[in-house]
Amino acid sequence: MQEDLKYIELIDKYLSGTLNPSEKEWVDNLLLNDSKFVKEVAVYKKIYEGIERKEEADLKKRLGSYFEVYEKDQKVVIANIPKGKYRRLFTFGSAIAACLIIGGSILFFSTNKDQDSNLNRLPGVVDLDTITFKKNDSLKNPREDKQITQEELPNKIKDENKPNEGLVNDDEKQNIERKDSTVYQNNIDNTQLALGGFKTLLPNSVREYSYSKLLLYTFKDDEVKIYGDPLMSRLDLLSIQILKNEKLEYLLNFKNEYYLIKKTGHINKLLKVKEEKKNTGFSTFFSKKPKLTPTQEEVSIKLVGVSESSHVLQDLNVNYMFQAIQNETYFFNEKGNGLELILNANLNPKSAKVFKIREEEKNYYYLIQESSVYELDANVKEPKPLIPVDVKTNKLARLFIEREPVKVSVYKLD
Amino acid sequence: MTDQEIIKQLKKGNESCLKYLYRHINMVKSLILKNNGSEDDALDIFQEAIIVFYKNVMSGEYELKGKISSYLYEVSRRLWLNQLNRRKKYENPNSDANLIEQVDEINEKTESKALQEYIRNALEKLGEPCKSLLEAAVFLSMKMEDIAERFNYSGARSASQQKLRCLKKLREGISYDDIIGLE
Repeated sequence: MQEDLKYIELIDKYLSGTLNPSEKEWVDNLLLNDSKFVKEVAVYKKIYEGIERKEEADLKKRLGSYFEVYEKDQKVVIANIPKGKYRRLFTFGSAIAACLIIGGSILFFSTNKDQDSNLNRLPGVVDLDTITFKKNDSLKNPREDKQITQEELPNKIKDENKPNEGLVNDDEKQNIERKDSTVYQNNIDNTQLALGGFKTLLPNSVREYSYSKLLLYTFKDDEVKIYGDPLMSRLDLLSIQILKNEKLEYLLNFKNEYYLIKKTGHINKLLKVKEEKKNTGFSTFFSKKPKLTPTQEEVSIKLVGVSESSHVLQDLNVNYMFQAIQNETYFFNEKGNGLELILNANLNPKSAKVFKIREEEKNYYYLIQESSVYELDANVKEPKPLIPVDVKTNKLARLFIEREPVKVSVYKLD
Repeated sequence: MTDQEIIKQLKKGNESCLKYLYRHINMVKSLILKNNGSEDDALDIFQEAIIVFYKNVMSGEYELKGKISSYLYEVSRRLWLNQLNRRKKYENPNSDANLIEQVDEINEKTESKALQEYIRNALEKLGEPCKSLLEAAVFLSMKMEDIAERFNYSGARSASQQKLRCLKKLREGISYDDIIGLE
């Protein structure tokens, strides 16, 4: 038994080339003289060869399954991590994306803060819909939820206007009474979409405007801002006259109608002065052709454009692909209670704006990009090319024409 | 998984972490695709390179000096050059030696298949731990110290004795005529 093992050890060492010199001598001798030993060497050689081949074949099989596992693992991450030389690019790309998101949010939230403080100061620019027609005509500040009482109108004029003077119809009243909240709701998916290749247009750039012919104004620092009916032509604007009576009250003459305007930074309704009333201080001037003398005083009249008089739209999300492409398209998606607009266009996120224009209970969507106006059909569910509209023929598109203020002289009423 | 960790795990007997080596396959793929090879060639060559690497790690011949990836690339490159040389010979149409070599290779393959299966049966009959011990000692050329550690023997000497006993037992189940007939 022990001898057997000794022989086997010699054969094993011989086959693996690890014999020491004395063992080698012994083995050489055996190979020459012992045919049984030679046979055994041949058998073990075969056994070793067999084990090697069998093991190699089995290992190859196992490696095949390891490769499958590796490929599966790759597929899980393949969508996010490019291989080889793009890996570094991806790493940098992720870093840049992270910086953009962080930087963007800092910028975004700090801009919001600015807007807050603006709102609190309540300058001339207030969204149309913030006005509620309460007894004492107050402005509601949606952020603080406290009412800012507007300067009282002179009682006489107020009384005169109690009967509907035709400027406001009931529908419009309803629109106006709808409360506005400037909470930005359409920035929820900002980050997610940015990672998915889409970016979300800043909530500030998605706006709603209710088109109505109701006229509102502010009058501050020799500037009259007229809100409402932005379709008023420049000629109309030029025809506006500003008059001043002996009580130093201002009157605005527009299309043969007279409106009393007060110096105020708050938005007021343009109130028509009625001829029948004799106690306005303007009686003489209504009964006969008034005598007007120009003064040195000048007032600039600005027709406030849609962008300034609109407010942030909450129920529309606008996502766009940030890339240069030739065929710009758009389509709408239903999303929760609101809509989602997908723009496949080379937008300038700073200047691009999307507007929802409400006119007589209908909604119209427009995209303003650089100097072009695009009308968007909310029923489009498949990508449709973006084609600019002709501002001259599309009535509502004219809303987006920015007009220079007009300077007019103030006339004195004698 | 780092290079060092892979080697550590392999020595512990955790063969499956060889899968982490496949992340280096792309450079071998591009080498072979640029040099008249196909994707399948690349996979075959890379697999053989992994086997060379694995055997060298287990026998203690491999020392981690450079990166595993460079090692695999170098081995793959040599294996592929050998393969290309062999193919060149076969492509030479006016050589009779060719045909003989091809026939030889086919014979060798079928024979080796028969030998493989014969040894597989013999090893199955042998059972554990001899089967695994012989595979580790013969195929992976593991050192006796390492075998002792893995199979819980007191030392290299007792592992050697165990190996010889296993070989003897295996040999007892094998007939000389059968195995030589497979030559």
